[in-house]
Amino acid sequence: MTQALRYVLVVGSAIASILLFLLASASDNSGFFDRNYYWLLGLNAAVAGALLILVIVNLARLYSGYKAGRFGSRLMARLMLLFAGIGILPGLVIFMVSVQFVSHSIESWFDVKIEAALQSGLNLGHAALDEALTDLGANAGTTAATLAGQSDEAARSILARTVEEVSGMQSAMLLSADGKLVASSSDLRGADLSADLPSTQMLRQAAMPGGYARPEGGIDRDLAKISDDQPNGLDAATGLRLRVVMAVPEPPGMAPRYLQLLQGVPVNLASNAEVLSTAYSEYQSRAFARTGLRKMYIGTLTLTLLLAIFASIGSAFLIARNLAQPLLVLAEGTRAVAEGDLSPRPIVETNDELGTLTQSFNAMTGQLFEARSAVERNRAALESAKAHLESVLGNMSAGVIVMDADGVVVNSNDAVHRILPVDVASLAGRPLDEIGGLEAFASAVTRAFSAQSAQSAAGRGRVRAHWQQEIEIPRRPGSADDHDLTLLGRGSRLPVGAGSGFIVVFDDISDVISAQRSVAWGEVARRLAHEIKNPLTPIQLSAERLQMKLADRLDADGAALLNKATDTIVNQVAAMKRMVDDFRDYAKAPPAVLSPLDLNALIEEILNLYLSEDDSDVIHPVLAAGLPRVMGDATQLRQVIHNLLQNAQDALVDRGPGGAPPRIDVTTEAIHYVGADGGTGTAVRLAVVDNGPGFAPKILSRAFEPYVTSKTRGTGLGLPMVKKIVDEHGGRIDVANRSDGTGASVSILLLKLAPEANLAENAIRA
Amino acid sequence: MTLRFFRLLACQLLLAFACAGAQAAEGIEITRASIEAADDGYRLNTAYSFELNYGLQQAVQHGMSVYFTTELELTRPRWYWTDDRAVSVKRTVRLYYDVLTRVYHVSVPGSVQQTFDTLDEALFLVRRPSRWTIAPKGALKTGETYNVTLRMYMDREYLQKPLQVDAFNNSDWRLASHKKTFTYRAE
Repeated sequence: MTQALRYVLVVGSAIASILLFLLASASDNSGFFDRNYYWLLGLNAAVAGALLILVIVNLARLYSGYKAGRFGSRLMARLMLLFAGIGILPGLVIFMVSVQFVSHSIESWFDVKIEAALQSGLNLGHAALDEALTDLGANAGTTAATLAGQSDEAARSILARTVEEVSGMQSAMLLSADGKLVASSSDLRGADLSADLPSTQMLRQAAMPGGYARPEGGIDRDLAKISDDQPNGLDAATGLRLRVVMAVPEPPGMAPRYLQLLQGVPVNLASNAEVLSTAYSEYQSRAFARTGLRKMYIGTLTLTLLLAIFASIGSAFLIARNLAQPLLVLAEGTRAVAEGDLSPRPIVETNDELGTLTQSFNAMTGQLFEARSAVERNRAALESAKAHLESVLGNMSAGVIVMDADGVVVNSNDAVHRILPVDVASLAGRPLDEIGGLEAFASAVTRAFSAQSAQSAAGRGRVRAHWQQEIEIPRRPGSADDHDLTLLGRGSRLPVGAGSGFIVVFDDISDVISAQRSVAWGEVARRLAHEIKNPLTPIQLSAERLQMKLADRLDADGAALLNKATDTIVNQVAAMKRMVDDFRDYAKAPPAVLSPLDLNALIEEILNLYLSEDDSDVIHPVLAAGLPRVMGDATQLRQVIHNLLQNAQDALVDRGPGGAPPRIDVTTEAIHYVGADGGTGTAVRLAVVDNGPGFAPKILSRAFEPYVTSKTRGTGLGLPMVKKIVDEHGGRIDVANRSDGTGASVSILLLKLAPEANLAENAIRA
Repeated sequence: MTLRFFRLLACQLLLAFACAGAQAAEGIEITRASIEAADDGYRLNTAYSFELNYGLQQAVQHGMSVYFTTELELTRPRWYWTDDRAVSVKRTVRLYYDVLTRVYHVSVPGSVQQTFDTLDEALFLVRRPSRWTIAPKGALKTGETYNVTLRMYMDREYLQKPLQVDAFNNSDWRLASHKKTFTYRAE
């Protein structure tokens, strides 16, 4: 729009200037502009109208923008008014003065005195002509008197004399009553006089008293010569003449005749009179035209004023827009910056301060943008660090609880939920000792912190920054497993802001405790076995000796009693020996001698023993084909499988009547996993699953401790033995109840594979 | 707002044109108009009726020339093309007063200048001009019907420019007839 407006204004102004110039030049008389004056006027008016429309459209837009409070319209309006005022006011002043000047000066040109002088001059001319006519009339009277009654011949000579005598006489004619030439004489011999014959009208007038006497303007200024200048004096001299036609006073009886005299007006008089009359006409016509002249001048002036005003308003728009543009850009920019948009503004292409201003503004926004993006980057880095920390905290196995000075939980990680019987969501924002299920934990923690505070208050020795304590948490009464939790908790003070807080880190060390217990039991068993086994042989020997020596000396009853007692002793000792051997075996099992073996073959070999029994439909082996060979001790692994199958069979015996038929699944499979070093590895899994009653919860957590058994018979050494052997093989053992609650599942993961199996595996991979 | 302004402007312009149209034809009445076929061609026979107003009379008597122009156009409608403009002629008669010799002159192109003692006599010639040969013998197609448009007006083109400007809104300087149209069957 601005661009279009600019072009329109420039072109319009150029046209207007040209038209105005033409109009101004048209004010002096020249043929072309005379004829096209209306066109010029109309064109000027049209241009003025176009400019007016342009200006009005712009003003309307500005006004509506101003009303609507469009951004920048106020500044535009002020600048526009300023510039338009600067343009219009001088124009108006000049216009007023000019109008005043024109109307007065034009009136002053037409003076009464001048008019009177011209009129007088004309009257003088009339008088001179009249006098000449009177002279000529008198002359004609005398000539006519002389001619009266003369013959045509005599008349001719009289006429010739008249022409000769009177200076300036052009011709003298004697005419008959019907206008026919009777006799004539001319100053130019042989001239054609027919053109000068009087008309019948003249003759009729000549017949009246006084005759016909008139001056004539002989020249015929026809239409073609109108646009040319006035006739000059010479033309007038040849043209202006006096004509007198008079009836010849004939004696009665003769046919009436008429005398015509044509006399040229003296050159001096003629030219002056002609000039005078022309000037008079001119003056009169100008006097008539003076209203028009004033209208013309004022119209031209008004048109000029309008054009100037419209052009100045249009220019004011342009200038105001040009001036306001950088300011608006800047203002827009500040608003955008306030709204957070820091993109660079279009630069105003000027070398002045405004251009510099926009450039520095852009530089400023650029720096702002840089600063803000730096802050953004820092924030993102902080956030990612925080997220990293949180993920570390969330995924670490130890539970972490952060509390403020009042013991209100501020933060806790997921491990807390895994270890403690509480909901994570219920922790935050509540005091630790008000959370259900954590009373013991809370009191232990509180006591520990108190103790530490007391210790630091005492100031004895080197005060440690944290405390460490084992915390026993009883399971909830209604809980599924009533095994106590053993936690190893560490607490330290955490300076959070102005106050201080507490941080508690704890681990579930139940498994560690269990392992320690298992080791301790092993030691106890070994010592007991050693201590108990030693007296057993003497006891047995003594009993046998008693039987042998005393049997003969006693009567039958006594001998029977003796035999029974000694048998009992011997049997019980043998049983005790066996038990002790078991303990010894458990306590000091021989180290496993690992060699490559086929686990499937081993299992099949063992299963043959079981399948030969009558419950052959109970055991269902599912052995994966192509199982890699494992490194293992065949004897020990055989014992493992025996123990597991025995356990399963015992569990099936314990199950109540009804329900599904007993079933034991023995499965082997190869497991592929991703190791900690990123490489892939293969393991072999052996699982024995039964559908018996499963492990009791109390048993389950301590299944690998000796003497923990649910069986009525048994040493409770089966699973500990298995665990020991698997550990020797570098494998993992996992005991669980089946997810549907029916039966137990024991799975063993053997990680050490035969070297050639690994090679074969790698070859297959490759 | 702009729309309203334009509407106002349009109204003003319409009004101005209407007034101009009304003022364009005032004063001269064509009382007779006919075309006759003569030996040397077609002749226009017209008579007008008008009076010079006081202003014009004053102007004439102070030596200003007054010009009367007669415009004539003969067109033949053609269904297949634009109208055939057979004749389009214009004749200007000049009336002026010689202040020195105090006679009125009427000059008609193609004939001698005639002088009259009084304005009425001079105007008589203007009002009832002699027959005017408008076209030679073969210019019109015999038997065809032509539309004739005739107009007679005081020609302002010959006025001085200030007077032309004045004539814009001064009815003293305006003297014109309506366009008279009639049909003529060429013989």
